[in-house]
Amino acid sequence: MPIDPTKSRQLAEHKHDAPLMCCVFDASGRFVIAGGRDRKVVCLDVAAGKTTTLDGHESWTGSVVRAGAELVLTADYAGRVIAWDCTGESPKPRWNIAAHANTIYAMAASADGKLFATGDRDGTIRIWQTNDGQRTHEITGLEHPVYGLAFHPDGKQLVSADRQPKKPRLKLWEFATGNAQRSIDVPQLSAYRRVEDIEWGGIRAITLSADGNTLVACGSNEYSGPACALLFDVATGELKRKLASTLKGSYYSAQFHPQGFLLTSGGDVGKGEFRAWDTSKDESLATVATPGPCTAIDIHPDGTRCVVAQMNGKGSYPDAGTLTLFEWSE
Amino acid sequence: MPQQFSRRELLAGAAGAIAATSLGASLRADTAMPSRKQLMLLFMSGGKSQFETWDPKPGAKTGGPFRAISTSIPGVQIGELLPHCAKIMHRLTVVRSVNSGIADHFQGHYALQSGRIATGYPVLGSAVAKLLERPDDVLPGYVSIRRDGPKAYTDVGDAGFLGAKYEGVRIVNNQPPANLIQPSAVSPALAEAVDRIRQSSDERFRLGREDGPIHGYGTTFHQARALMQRREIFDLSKEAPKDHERYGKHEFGQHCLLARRLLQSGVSCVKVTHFDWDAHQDNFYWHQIRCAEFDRTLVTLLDDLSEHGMLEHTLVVIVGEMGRTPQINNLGGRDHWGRCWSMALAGCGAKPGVVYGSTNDTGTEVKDNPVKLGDLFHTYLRALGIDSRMKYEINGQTNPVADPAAKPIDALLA
Repeated sequence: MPIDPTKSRQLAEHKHDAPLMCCVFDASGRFVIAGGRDRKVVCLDVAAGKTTTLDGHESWTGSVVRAGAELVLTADYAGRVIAWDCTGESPKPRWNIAAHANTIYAMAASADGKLFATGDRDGTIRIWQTNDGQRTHEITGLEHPVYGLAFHPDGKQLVSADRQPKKPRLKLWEFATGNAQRSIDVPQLSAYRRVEDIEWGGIRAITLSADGNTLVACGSNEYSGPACALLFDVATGELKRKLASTLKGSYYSAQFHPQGFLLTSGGDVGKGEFRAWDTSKDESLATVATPGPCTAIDIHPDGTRCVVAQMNGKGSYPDAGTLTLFEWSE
Repeated sequence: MPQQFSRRELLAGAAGAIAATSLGASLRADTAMPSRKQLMLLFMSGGKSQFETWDPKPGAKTGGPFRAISTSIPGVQIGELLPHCAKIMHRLTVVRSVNSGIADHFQGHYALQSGRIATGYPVLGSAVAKLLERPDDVLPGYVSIRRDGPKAYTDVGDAGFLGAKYEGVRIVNNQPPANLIQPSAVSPALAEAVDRIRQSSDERFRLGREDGPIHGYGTTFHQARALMQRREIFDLSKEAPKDHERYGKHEFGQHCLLARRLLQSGVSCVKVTHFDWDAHQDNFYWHQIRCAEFDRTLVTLLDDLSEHGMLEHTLVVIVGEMGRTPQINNLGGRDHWGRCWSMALAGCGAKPGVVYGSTNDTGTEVKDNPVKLGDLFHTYLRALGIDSRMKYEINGQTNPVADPAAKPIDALLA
C-alpha cells in the first residue's frame, strides 16, 4: 500500500529507563529491538504494546541490525555481538561472540542477510557469517573509528564511514580482497576545533539507496551545525545534494523508504526530529518534532510504520529513552 | 609581568647571543649528580574522567559503558582502560575524594598547581624549584613540556611573586629552546666581552634598586649559558630506541621520555601536559584513546625511574584541573566537575598501595575523607621533604608556601 510521507501520526510511545541509541524491527515486524546507554537490550512486542529486556551484554549496546528473516544482531561497547532469534514468542540468543577487543561503533547486514559487518574504535572492519557468527574477512588500516557501515546491494562491496579528523572519509571496499575501490573525503561533516584539538564531528551514519547508486552520510555540518545529510553518487563520488535541517545538532540515522523517499533522524539539546525527503529537492517533505534527540529510525517491513529511538531528560543530560511508533496513511 | 617575558624570551630565543664560557666545573655530570628530591608533574589537561580511570562505577547510571577490573590490591578495582596501572596499583597512591569545587579550566589549572584560589602564588613547579634549590644549580629548576597549540588556559600562573628566576622554561613539541648553538659569526671572545658589559651594566643598574628582578635577569643569562653547554639534555636521539618504543611514539610518551632525561640531568621539577581530556563530546571514545597512551606510558615511566634509581627521590604527581560530570550529556560527553574526582601519586614520599577517600554509588559526591586542593599542595611538599608550614621571604615580605588553612594528608605519606 503506498503511503504519503506527509501524513503521519504517532501510534504508541514506550519509555525506557536509559537513553536509547539504536532500534530496529525484526523481519516479521513483530518486535522492535533497541539498545542504548545500559546493558539491557529493549524488546518491544509491537502488537502487545509491551516491552521486556534481554540480558547478555556487559556494556552499552550502540548498534542493532536486522539480518535475514530470523535474526536481529546487537553489538556493544565491549566488542560483543549477540544474535537474537526472533522466530519464537520472544527473542532468544542464538549465538554470542567476542567480535572485537574494543567498542563496536557500527554494524550492517547484507541485503540477503547472510553476512554482517562490524567496525570498531581502532578502524578495524570484520565481516561475519550471520548463521553462525564465524568471521570471513577483515579490513584493517583505517586507523580511525568506524562510525558507519553499509553493504552495497551487489553483495560484493561494503561502504565504511570513519571519523578521521578534519576529513572524515567514506570508503568503498571490495570486501573479499580488502581493496579500497574509492575514497571520498567529507570535510563538511568535520567539526574539528583547534582550541580543544578534538574532532567533534565525523560521519555518524550512512545508508545506501536500494539501487546502490546513492550514498547518504549523516552528521553535523561543521561545528555549528545544522544537522545534515549529504548525498553522494556512488559511481563518481560526487556530492549531489546537502539536505540540511533547521536543527543545530546532528543527524544520527537515515533510511530509504521502499517508495524511494529518505528518512533522516537527529537532534540537538533537548529536542529532535525525523524528516522525510525527496532526494531530488533541498526542502523536506515533512518533519515530525520529538521531545528528545532521535538517535535512530527504522522502517517497518510493511512500509507503513516507523520507529524512532530517543534520548530524553533534562537539558543536555538525558537519563531516559523512548521508542515511539509512527504510522503513515495513504 | 616583565620578568616573565624577558626570561622566556631569553631562554627561548636569545641564548645564542650569550657567551658560551666554560661552565664545566659548575655543571653536574649525570653520573656524579647526588640524589636530590625531584618532582614530575603529569598534568591531564582538560580534566580526566574519574569514572573511566580511578573511580569506576560500573552498572551505575552515571558509570558509562566501561567495566571495572581488579588490581594488584585485593578488593580494589579501577577502570578497564587502565590495565597496566591495575597491575602496579600497589605502587600507586590514589585519591578518590578530591573536592576542589572548581569546574573551570583557567581557575582549575592555576588552583590545582598552586594549591590556592587567590592568584599570584607560585605554581608547584616554581615552588619546588625554589624550595629544592641548591647553591650550585645552574640549570633551570622548572621545565614545562607541552605540545604546540592555542591552549590558553594551560599556561595560567607560574612563578608568581617568586619572580623570573623560577619561571618554568617551556619546551614545546620536545624542541629545545632556540639558539642554543653559538652563532658562528660570534666569536667566543666577542660573546664573552658582550656578557661582561651586560654584567657591568647590571651592577650599575642595581645600585640603589631592589635586587630581585635584576638578579632574576642575571640568573636567566646564567641558565641560558648552562643550557647552551648542556643542550644534549634535550637530545632524545641519545635515548635508546627501545626506550622510545616502550614510552610510546605518541607525543605524551615522547614528552615523558624527555622529562625523565631532564630530571636525570638535574632539573628539579618537570611538568608534562597531556592534552585532550576535555571530552564534552564522545567522552568514551576520547578516554579510550587518551587512557591507552597514559596507561602504558605511566607504567613505563615508573619502571624506568625505578630502574635508574630515581623513583625513590622523585615524586610523580598525576592530576588535572578537574574531573568530569557524573551525568553523560546528549553528545556522549561528560562536562566539567569539581566536587568529586580523583588523582594519583607515586614515588618519593608517597605511601604506595593506598586508595584514599571514597565516593557515593553514583559518583556524584564524596563519601568520606574529602580532600581540598590546598591539602594536596601541602602533601606534595611534605612528600618531597619540604616543611609545608615554611614561609617565603621575598623582598621583606613573608608568605606561607602553602595555604595555612590546609594541611598535609598523613595517610598519603610514606
